[in-house]
Amino acid sequence: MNIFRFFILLSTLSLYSCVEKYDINITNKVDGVVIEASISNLSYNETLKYPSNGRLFQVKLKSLSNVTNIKDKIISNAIVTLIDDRGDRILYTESPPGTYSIKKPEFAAIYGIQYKLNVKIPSGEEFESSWETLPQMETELGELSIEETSIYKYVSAANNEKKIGNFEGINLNVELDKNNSEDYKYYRWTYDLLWIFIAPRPNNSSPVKKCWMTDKHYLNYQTLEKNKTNTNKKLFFIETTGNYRIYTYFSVLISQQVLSEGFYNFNKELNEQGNRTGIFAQPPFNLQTNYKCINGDKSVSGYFGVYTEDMIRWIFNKDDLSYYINNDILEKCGPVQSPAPGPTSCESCMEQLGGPSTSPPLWWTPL
Amino acid sequence: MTTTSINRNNYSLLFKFIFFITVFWINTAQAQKATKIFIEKNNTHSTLSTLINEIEKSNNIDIIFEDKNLLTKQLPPINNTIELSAYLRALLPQKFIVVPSKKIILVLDNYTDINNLFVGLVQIGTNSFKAQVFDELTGKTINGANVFFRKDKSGFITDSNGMFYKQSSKNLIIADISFIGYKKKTIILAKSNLAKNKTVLIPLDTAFGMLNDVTVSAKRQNENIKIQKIGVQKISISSIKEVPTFLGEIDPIKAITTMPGVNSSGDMGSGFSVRGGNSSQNLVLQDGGIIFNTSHLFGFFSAFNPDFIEEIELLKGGGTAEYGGRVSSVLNIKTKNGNMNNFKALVGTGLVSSRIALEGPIVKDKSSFLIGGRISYADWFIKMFDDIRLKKSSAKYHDITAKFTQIINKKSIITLSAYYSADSFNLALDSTFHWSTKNISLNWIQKHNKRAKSTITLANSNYSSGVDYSDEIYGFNYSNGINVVSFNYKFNYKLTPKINLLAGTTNNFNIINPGESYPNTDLSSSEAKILNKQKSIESAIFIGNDISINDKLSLNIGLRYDNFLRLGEDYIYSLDYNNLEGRTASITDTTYYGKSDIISQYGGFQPRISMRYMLTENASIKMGYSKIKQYIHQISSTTIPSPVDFWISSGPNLKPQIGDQLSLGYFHNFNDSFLETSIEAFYKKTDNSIDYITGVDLHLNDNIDAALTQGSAYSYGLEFLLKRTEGKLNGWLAYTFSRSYQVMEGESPELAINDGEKYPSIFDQPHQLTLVLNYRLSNLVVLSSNFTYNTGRPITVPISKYSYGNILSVNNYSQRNAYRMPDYHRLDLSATFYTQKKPNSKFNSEFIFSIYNVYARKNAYAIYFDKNGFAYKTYILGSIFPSISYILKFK
Repeated sequence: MNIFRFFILLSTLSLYSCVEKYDINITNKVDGVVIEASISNLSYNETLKYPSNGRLFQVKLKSLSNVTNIKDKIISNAIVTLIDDRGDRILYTESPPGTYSIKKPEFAAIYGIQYKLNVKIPSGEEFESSWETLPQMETELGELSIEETSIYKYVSAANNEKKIGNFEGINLNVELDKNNSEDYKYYRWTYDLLWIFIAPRPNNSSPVKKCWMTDKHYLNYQTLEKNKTNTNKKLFFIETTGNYRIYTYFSVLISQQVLSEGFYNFNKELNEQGNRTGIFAQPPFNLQTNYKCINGDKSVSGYFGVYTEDMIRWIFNKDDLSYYINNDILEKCGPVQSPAPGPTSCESCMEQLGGPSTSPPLWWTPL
Repeated sequence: MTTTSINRNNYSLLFKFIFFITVFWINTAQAQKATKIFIEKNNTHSTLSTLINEIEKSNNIDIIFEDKNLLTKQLPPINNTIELSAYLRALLPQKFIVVPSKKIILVLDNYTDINNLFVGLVQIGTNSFKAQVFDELTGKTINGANVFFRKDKSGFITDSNGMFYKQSSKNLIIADISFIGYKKKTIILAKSNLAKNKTVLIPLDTAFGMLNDVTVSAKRQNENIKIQKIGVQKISISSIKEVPTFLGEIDPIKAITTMPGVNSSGDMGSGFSVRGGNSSQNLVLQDGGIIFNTSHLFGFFSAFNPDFIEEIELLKGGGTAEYGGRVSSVLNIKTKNGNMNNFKALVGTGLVSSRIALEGPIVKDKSSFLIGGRISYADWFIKMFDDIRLKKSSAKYHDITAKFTQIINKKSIITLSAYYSADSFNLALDSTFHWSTKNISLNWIQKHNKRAKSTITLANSNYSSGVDYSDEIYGFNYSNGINVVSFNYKFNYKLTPKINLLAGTTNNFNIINPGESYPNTDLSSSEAKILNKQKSIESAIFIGNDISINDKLSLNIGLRYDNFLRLGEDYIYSLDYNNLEGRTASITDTTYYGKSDIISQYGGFQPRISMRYMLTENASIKMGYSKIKQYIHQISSTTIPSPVDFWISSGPNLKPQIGDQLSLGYFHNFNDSFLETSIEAFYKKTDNSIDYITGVDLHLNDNIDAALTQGSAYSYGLEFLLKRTEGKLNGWLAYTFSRSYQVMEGESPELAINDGEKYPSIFDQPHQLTLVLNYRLSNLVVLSSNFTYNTGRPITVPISKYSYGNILSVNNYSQRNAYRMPDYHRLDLSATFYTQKKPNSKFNSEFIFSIYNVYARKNAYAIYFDKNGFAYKTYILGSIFPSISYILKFK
């Protein structure tokens, strides 16, 4: 290798060996508490009707972690109280550790009443939220409609090349509340899935033939909308080609919530913050909070949200589509009595990814 | 590649060599004849005049008399054949006869030391002598050399082109030329019918290791002591060249950052920061055109082609009244004019780029051209390697600089400069960053009389930057830019020998594109977004005076009045800061302004004053105050400055930045000014300084004014400079202690940054140290070193994290800029080898070997964090960088 080529090699390679993990010496470690809490106008009892397993109002307490920690450190034995402006106080009960619930199935926030959350942790610090109230009397989930569409996305091809494919699917749209005021309305929609997976190879009496899946990684986001006009809103897109979730039964418990502006912004920034990484990321920021420590200067994060809510369980109906959906699980797994091994989920529904359970949820009624 | 090109040139060089030898031989042969001229006995000429005329005609030589009256002298009879010079010595025993060349005989009135004597011939028929002084070694013209005429004891300083003129009806003049760092030279300029040119080219030899031989005037040596202005840093191209280079690329901006109070805006980042200010607060001018990005390849190299630079002057604090529009500094770069007499070429090649420059006369002594450019081939090298990341990467730039100079008459000169540069890079990603500058400027200098001079500048500066995301599904093409048309007029008038008046006007018409984005394909789901263009006019009138009150006290007083108009067409939001919408002020109304409607107007007086008081011949104190307004602002939408930072205009919701700076300095030269020392203190306050509101999205934000907050920025510091200007070992030590803070109380309490408390700006680097040392091993070898240390830059870091709902990790950040990046330090070394320049040689060359980042420190370019809060250090230069470059110059 001549000297010229050596220099080129040395210089050029040096240019590109340029990122390494870096430990920042955090000199001013902040001892802080995270409070995750919200209440709505729908009581536990009312949420059972949609149908669902019901939702208790919960508070999750944890400490701020070092950036190198993987797991949160929960805070147990705290005294958590919901206080309203009438002087009523409701004590939360801790179960499991770090999670505190209102064990009054009939409790729901009432329009016109102000609420605040008070948390006293074992070390003596006490935190309190600002007064919050339901932003409006009620919200009504408008008519849901599906819209056949398709999207482009990358698929793996030979030689590790990426190839663009066109995939059919549907958008689920919702008609928004009528907004007669000039003010914005701040919406949030959350999704709770249930779908059924039937493994092709076990016989019908097998306990691992059919599973109820509560997939926490599919549609695991919230949809936010700041709206002044009455329009339709696209909630989510699901593929209809090769999407094994929808072949047998697929439902989504959709919660439509009308939030306060502060709680909406908190959720919006919560979604955005994780996207701000890399050299050319937008400048970082901390999420806003409506808590403060009332007997010290301990840091506190989180937002006590009070929102108006309506729910519906939307069930996907293949007949609503203009085209036929092919269940390709059978093709992938091969003949039922085939000796050739297929994917493990062919033999047992419990092997299918998506939080399988052989027991249906409590509210389930046979199809 | 280089080798090939040199081999190809070998034939040409061989031809030139043969030609040179032939010409030399012919000249020598003729000279034999000329120096052996004999006067026959019994010569019949009665006067010296007739004798000389005959000898000149018959021998094609020129005999020049300093005293023309001697020619009337009656001749005595000549009894013996005698050699001409011997005859003249005998005839004129009081005179001094010099035979400097084979064709010239000079008859001088007084003895003149012929050692280091230079004789230049000027064409007969003019009433003046014109000459240009240049560096014998490098060929560069020398600006500011002292020319002292012995006879009338008058003097000149060579101008920016190294030129000087002397009106005289005499046959010849004798002068001494001196300049710091060069051997003093005695010159004789003589009018001769053998002269080929109107302008004499005078080479000066560098005074390597010959301090005792150098006699320079006190005026020149003490320039740093005597000039009124404070905060001025001049750096010559020769000093720039001696700062060790990165990959062999001579970098004027890096050289500037070795001066006290100046540092790079990022480790290898674009731009530079002056006294704690943002890089966008520096007005960078090249021949009157504004340069908005001073870097190539994301800061690896400077945007300025060193082959074209004549002089760089940095005015810390905004400069005199003629400058405005940026609150931190003015960097004034003058390109040289093309050679009016000879064609020259320069070819340089390095590891990642090559350059070429050509210059020469179009019409001799009337007009010239200078054109050249640089191109990188880093891209080609990168793709040579069998590494998928490298193959997916690219990094390229090129630039072209051209200048046309036309001397209209003795009093009028026009120059037309053009500059184009384009950059792009992609580091194994789908995103290609790019930026481009297109500048053109016309300068017309008209000398009205000995006292008055006008300068008109017409310029267009067009800068754009962007990023192309090539993804087929989500791809987009984003760009932003600024286009400025300038008209400036400047009038200098020397009212009295002690009062210089400067007055004029500057006018900029700005069209800013704050950002636009389009999907890159029909398939792309990216949405098009186009922000409205922002138009504005910045006009100013100014007047300034240089006043020498007495030998000790000198003043520069100036006043500038700015008028800024933000013009339509645009939609302007009315903001209610008491009623926030999320993080920002709510919009209460929208007003439409039609084309050319005035949206808002700002203006005001900006006084400038600087004073110098000479304590002794070698020491002075200086004081300066300046007020400056800045009407356009650069915004970075990312954590670190990036090539896609965009400009926006002041308007109803964004006030102009107003800088006030006070500085005080003590300057002392020692040892006949071979050692310069200075200490300068400064305090700078910028009202309406800009920072972003926490949590806002600045990218393509159509309500960008609401996403920004304005407050105060202030910085203060002490700058020390110790400079050895001469000797085998020379260089400088610059140390700056400074702090730079901001206070953003917010238009409402919720918009306050860090609770309205002061916090360090991203340019707060308390300790900055630079040591540049050059050691001249011989006339042909210069060893250089550069050590730089800067305190790490402030950053905002995640100090803790938590999970919330479905989000597994939410970062909890420190107060803004509460932490620092690691300190930056680096040592560079270089050795420059010059070839011995032979008499009449048509070419010479330089060979530069440099080692950048000698101890391979991984200085952080940026530190960023992933969504889990883990920190990553990006370093551009992860190892030692040796490099070689070669420059070949043709004459």
